[in-house]
Amino acid sequence: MTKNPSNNDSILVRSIGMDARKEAVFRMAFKMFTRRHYQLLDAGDTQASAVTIIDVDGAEGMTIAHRLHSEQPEQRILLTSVSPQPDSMFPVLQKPVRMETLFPALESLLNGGPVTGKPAGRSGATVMPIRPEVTIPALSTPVAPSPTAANPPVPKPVAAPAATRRPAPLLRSEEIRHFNPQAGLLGLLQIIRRDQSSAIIVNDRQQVILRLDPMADQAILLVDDEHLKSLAREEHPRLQMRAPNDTDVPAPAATRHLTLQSLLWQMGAWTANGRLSQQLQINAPVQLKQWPNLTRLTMLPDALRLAAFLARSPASPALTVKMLRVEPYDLFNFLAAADSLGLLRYNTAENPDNRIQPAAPDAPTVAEIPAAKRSFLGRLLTRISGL
Amino acid sequence: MREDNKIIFTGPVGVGKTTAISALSDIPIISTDAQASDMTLNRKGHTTVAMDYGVLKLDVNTKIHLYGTPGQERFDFMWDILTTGGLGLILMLDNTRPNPKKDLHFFLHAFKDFIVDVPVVIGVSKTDVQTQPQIADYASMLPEVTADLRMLNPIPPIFEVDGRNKEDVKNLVMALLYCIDPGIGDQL
Repeated sequence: MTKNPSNNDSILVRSIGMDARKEAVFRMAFKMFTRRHYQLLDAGDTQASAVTIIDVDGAEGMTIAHRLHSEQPEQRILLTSVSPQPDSMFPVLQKPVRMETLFPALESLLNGGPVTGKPAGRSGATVMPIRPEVTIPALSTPVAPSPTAANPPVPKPVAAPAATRRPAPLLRSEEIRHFNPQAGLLGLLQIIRRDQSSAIIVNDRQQVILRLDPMADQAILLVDDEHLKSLAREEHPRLQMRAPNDTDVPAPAATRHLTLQSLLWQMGAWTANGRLSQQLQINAPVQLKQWPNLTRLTMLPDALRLAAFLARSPASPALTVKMLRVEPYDLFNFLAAADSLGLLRYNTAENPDNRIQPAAPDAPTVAEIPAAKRSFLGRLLTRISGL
Repeated sequence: MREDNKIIFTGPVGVGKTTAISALSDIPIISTDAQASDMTLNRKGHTTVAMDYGVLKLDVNTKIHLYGTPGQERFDFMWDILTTGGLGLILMLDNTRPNPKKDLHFFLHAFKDFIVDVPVVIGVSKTDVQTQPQIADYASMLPEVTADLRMLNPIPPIFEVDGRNKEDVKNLVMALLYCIDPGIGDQL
């Protein structure tokens, strides 16, 4: 009778009928399982195994299993197959093998008991789920292990105060200022983006400010950011747009290169300067057609949250401020930046193609997030952002 | 014990999954390698033929498990072992591959049951080597590619990323978390 391995022993497992890649899966699964140490033997290893896992979907199929059983009747055998035979004399795991069924099956074999969940997987058999060991401690009462000589006391974590949401910023409609995104330097850039033609922008002294190539998504800047920002905030800057010629960027001029997308994004935010675009209404819904490419754009405050919220479903600026508790200043800048890239949907008579789109009727419902999970996500967010 | 303390990274061979997990993991990632005796070796010198595993620790008791799926499509039978529970899916695409649209279609469909319940974020790598398709093109592909899918977030984030750039990887993960709940992070 094969001795039952104790929890401290390495449990040697042999595989038959598997190629290297399948064995790699089992090796990984064994590494991830921390309650016991399973070890998959190499092909030439002559150590005695506690369990043999046989993939019976190969050419020899069940013949291998029967032959092993007749030669080594005491050997514990576990089969894997895409199509388990219901009358198999050996326990079978249906492919794809899942950790949730693999380890209970192994444990049962090692303990000499019947294997539950035979065959497992999508058949719906009940098995004990196996998960990596994780617990979520209560917010206000962190648990510390009892100190011993072998387990010296660890610094007690400071009990986190109950999470308090920041108050919703006040938003008084009479205090909202508006701007015209079709005017000024931003307006010129929008025309260039729309027309997809190369152009330059010059000031009233015919000095080139910007050279733009929308087809290549390229912008050459001949002024610094402060100058651009001040131009962005002028309602009627004395600027002109025209087709470029070869002398428009004389070398060795100090130039900077950006993508046109990133220039438009930044100009949208600078131009807004905390004001709401007059294309939008404070209580009318807006929606993102797609996320801005935020890893390659200036990261505006709360941009990730705002994008997640407005991509999920339409919401008015007023509701967005209330739900996300973002500063109206930051929201209005984000909306202006997104709109400058053509990423916003909102209902206007002038542009019926840009109307808000309803959600698909069979779209999965977004469930309410329980408070514990929200707290967990918040902690994970803090951890990630601190990396 | 939570079931959803894991994030899955997927995508084709050589896209940067292992590198991305390494950028986040608090432990050296566990990566079981076997020599791939096929054309995969022509694409990169060293390829992962099994899953990558890393851990991000929140505190003594709480870990986030980071799993990277094998890159070769023929190993998709392994992916099911990962897709129980989970916070979300990070799909990394390689802009230098011959048919990124096909890759997008393949991976979203491979995880179609998973992404009904969890969000997906898409990171496109090597855009510095191959500028086309652009991010806007991927967004344009999505409606056709996902026409037969039900997705928790049918308008997923699509970002240019470099797996070696920790900020890019962080932003991918933060976008994933905000897709679950845009309301997180508004605590004092």
